[in-house]
Amino acid sequence: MQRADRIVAIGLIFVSLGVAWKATELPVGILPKEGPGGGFLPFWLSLGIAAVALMVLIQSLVSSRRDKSATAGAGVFMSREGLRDLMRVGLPGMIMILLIGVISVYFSAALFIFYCLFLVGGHNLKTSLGVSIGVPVVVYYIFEKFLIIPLPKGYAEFLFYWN
Amino acid sequence: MEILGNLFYGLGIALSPQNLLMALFGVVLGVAIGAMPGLGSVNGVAILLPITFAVPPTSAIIFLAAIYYGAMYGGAISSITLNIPGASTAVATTFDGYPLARRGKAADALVTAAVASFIGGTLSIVLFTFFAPPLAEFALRFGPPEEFAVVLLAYATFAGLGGESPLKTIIATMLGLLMSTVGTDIVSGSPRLIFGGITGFYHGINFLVLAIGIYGVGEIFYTLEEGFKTKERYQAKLGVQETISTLKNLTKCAPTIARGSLLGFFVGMLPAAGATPASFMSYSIAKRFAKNPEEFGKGALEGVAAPECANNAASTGSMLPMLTLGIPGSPTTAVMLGALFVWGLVPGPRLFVENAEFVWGLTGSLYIANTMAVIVAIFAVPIFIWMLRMPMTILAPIILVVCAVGGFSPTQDMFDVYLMFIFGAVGYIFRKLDYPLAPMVLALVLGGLTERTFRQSMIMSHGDPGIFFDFAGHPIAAVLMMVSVVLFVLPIVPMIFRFRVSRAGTSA
Amino acid sequence: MKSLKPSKRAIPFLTLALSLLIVVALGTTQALAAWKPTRPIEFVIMAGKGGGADRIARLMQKIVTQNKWSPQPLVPINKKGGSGAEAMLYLLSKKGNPHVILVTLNSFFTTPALRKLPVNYTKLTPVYRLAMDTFLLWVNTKSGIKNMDDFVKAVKAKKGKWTMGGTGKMQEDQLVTNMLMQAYGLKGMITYVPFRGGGTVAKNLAGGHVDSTVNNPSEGLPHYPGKMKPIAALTPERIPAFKEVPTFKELGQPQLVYFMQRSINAPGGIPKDALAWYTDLFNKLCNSKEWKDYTSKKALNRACLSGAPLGKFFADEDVKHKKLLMGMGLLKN
Repeated sequence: MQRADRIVAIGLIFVSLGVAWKATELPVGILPKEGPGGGFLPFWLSLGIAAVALMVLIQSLVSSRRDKSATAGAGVFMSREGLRDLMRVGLPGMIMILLIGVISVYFSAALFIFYCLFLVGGHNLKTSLGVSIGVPVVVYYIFEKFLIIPLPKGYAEFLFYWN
Repeated sequence: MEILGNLFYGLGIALSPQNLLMALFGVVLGVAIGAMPGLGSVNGVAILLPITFAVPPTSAIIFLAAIYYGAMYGGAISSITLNIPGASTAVATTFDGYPLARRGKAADALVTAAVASFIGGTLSIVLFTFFAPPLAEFALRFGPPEEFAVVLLAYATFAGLGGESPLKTIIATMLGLLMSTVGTDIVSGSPRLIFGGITGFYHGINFLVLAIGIYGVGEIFYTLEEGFKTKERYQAKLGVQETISTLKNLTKCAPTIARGSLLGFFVGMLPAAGATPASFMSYSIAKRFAKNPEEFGKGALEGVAAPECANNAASTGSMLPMLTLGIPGSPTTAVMLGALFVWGLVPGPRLFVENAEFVWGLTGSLYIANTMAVIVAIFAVPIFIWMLRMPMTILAPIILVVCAVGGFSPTQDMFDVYLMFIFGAVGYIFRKLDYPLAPMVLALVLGGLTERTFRQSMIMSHGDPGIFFDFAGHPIAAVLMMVSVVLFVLPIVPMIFRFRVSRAGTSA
Repeated sequence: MKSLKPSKRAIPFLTLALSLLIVVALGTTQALAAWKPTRPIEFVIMAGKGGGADRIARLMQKIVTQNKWSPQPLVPINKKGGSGAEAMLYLLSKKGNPHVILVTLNSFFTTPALRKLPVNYTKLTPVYRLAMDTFLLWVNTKSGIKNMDDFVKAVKAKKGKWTMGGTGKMQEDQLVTNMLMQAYGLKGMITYVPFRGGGTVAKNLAGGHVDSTVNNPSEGLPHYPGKMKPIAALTPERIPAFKEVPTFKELGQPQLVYFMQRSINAPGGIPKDALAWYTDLFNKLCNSKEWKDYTSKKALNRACLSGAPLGKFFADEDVKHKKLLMGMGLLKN
């Protein structure tokens, strides 16, 4: 847990310094007769984040030195089983999102839901197929037919418009 | 009592069969749309605008107002049941609504939300009916310095929303503010922090993308790790008895609801602020006044009632400047204002004279739509409870798909869906490390307004920050600034005091 | 359900995945006969919801829907980022796609020039111009200013502290403000305060937070005549809805003429048939009673134009805007 805390703090320092550097594209100072320039807020905010993140890091280092057996740093960030469970659905979830732009949100969702229900959740074929087809169909009718919000269809677009 | 006469005239219009049907139709659609993650009242009104093209303007505005109302109720539903705010106005509802749902009290939370919404809405409609013109005059006195002062006041009331670690609360708040600066710098018109022209950053980081990401997707990650196959993660019960006991409990929330409704109405009425800040302010004020502040965030009914009454009150409040001044008090009323123009109506004082049927028909219908909405919302409760009883292995993938669709629809940009997924991961990690998420979301909501009004004021004063404390030129701003300074200092004073006492104790 | 082994369970899953892939892979092009939209038309708006461009787009949507002129719905999509940059880049990415159209503001000219975008009007297909929105110079009625002379005097009396509210920076309102300052020798005496939208600008004038604005008539109307007073119009002739307000031309400043064009553009390289279909559609719209009513009520100039003359109009406007920006020192050759 402590290690994760430090990694995040270090990550925050690097990211915010990068953003601060980017913010200098606009004036970061106070302009005469106008007040703060366009880069002022993002620049000083990111420097501030870097500074406070550094304090978090120092705090974590100091507290662990003070009492080695402390409960403060105890606890694991993520157990091995937890990570495995997370990856079993999280990764396919990410793939589902990436596939939306390629094979349409409907097919991508159908595959993902089927995978989760059938392969991970252990539901029977009937339930799995029913939900994985039913959800996209409902989404299709609500969004495309009723609300008329076209959702991404990628290369499968022609399938939705026959005429 | 000319107003009463007008009101009865308006109720008569609103009670005509066609208008009643429009109101009912609007409320049902509104509740459904509001409950969908990503689609709030703004999108609901904009998307369903074409449906109104076939009917006369009075019926059309009744329909749109009913959607607005319904969406306010609906937004609470997904906040409570899934921890996914259906709309930005319902984010604060997740703070206590979701913990309640996890403790098996989803029905209590839903009923509380509906009743609080009803009271908030009704109180503010009464204010709307009787005081519209003088209140509009008052709203006109709010320029950039006054708006900045209101925003600052909002921050001051939030001070209690942080987590255990003050440092991490500061980081989360600053991150939210930083995210609000992405996109276009309103004052200079230049693109800002778009990282070499990533087009997805041009429109800024959409608030809903962050909210759905960290709450919706992050919640799924959390569930996955805890063990995906745990059959029933939520215990949900619903019975007539429970509902009645909830209603009894609600009397405890009465002061909270009264405060929240008034606050919501006034904040909603101010141009630019709208229902989202109102709901947050109401929540934190309720926490401050509560006898049991430690229960907030863990499932306090007041924590559900406060934001819900305020956001409904604010939605009525924001219609006031729209009709009387032609200025939208919220993004949703901006779209409704557009609709007025499409129908060929000009908002302003003359609208009340020249289109009395329209104005009073709308006012009358607000009373009716509000009553319908509470009934529809309560009847919808069992459906959502049934949904909650589904095993996580079915619910989780569906929620993830719905989040993806919800992340896409407001901006119609796939980039936002990717961003939402990343926010999900970030939100998950942050939550494990005790970085509070609420201040981040809040800072993103208010960040743009804060920076804009501050810099506009500075330009108006030619760079002199004294404009905020100018009692002669901007009395409202100055008073509000003083109040927020006091509110900021107040929590620190006892700390210093305690510090002194303890030091005195040790030295003695 | 643990009895089934994962490998066995994977078979139906893979079959489903494969069949979907095949279906997708089979898809190729589609022949286009006499063109008609076959899917919903994305109606891109280069401004946020509720703004002037958004209102016009939704009005057009209404007229087209009500008259059933299109077999497919028009779907308004707001791409407000980067003062229109996001919308224009989106159209560039949709090259050759006839199911996307864009409704424009004048940032159509200023944004590509200022931001050095890889897209400008020449990369798109001009379809139709429907209207030209007009501008007026407004003050608060309490100021007691009656005419342009009063205005100039009042500005000079404030010694550089006069404020002018407008939408965004380096956009229409600021260009007009600059034209005014040049014409009346007020350079450096007016501070320009950028706001988010025309309605907010008007409200800030009505509430006395800024000293003057150059709002469109439709934005000023809610506060007229109670709180806002028009001083002069930036049009060649008087605006019918404001007959008593003189034009700058009458006041001896004929160069003070400025319009906001409301036009429709499609991505570059769309089929000729598609362009013909859209031209016909917007021609019907521009000559419809609804459009005539709206434009006269809101004091817009209805200005129907298409084809080659529209191309020339865009080219002229582009030059004009570049000159204005150069005059302000915001753009170098």
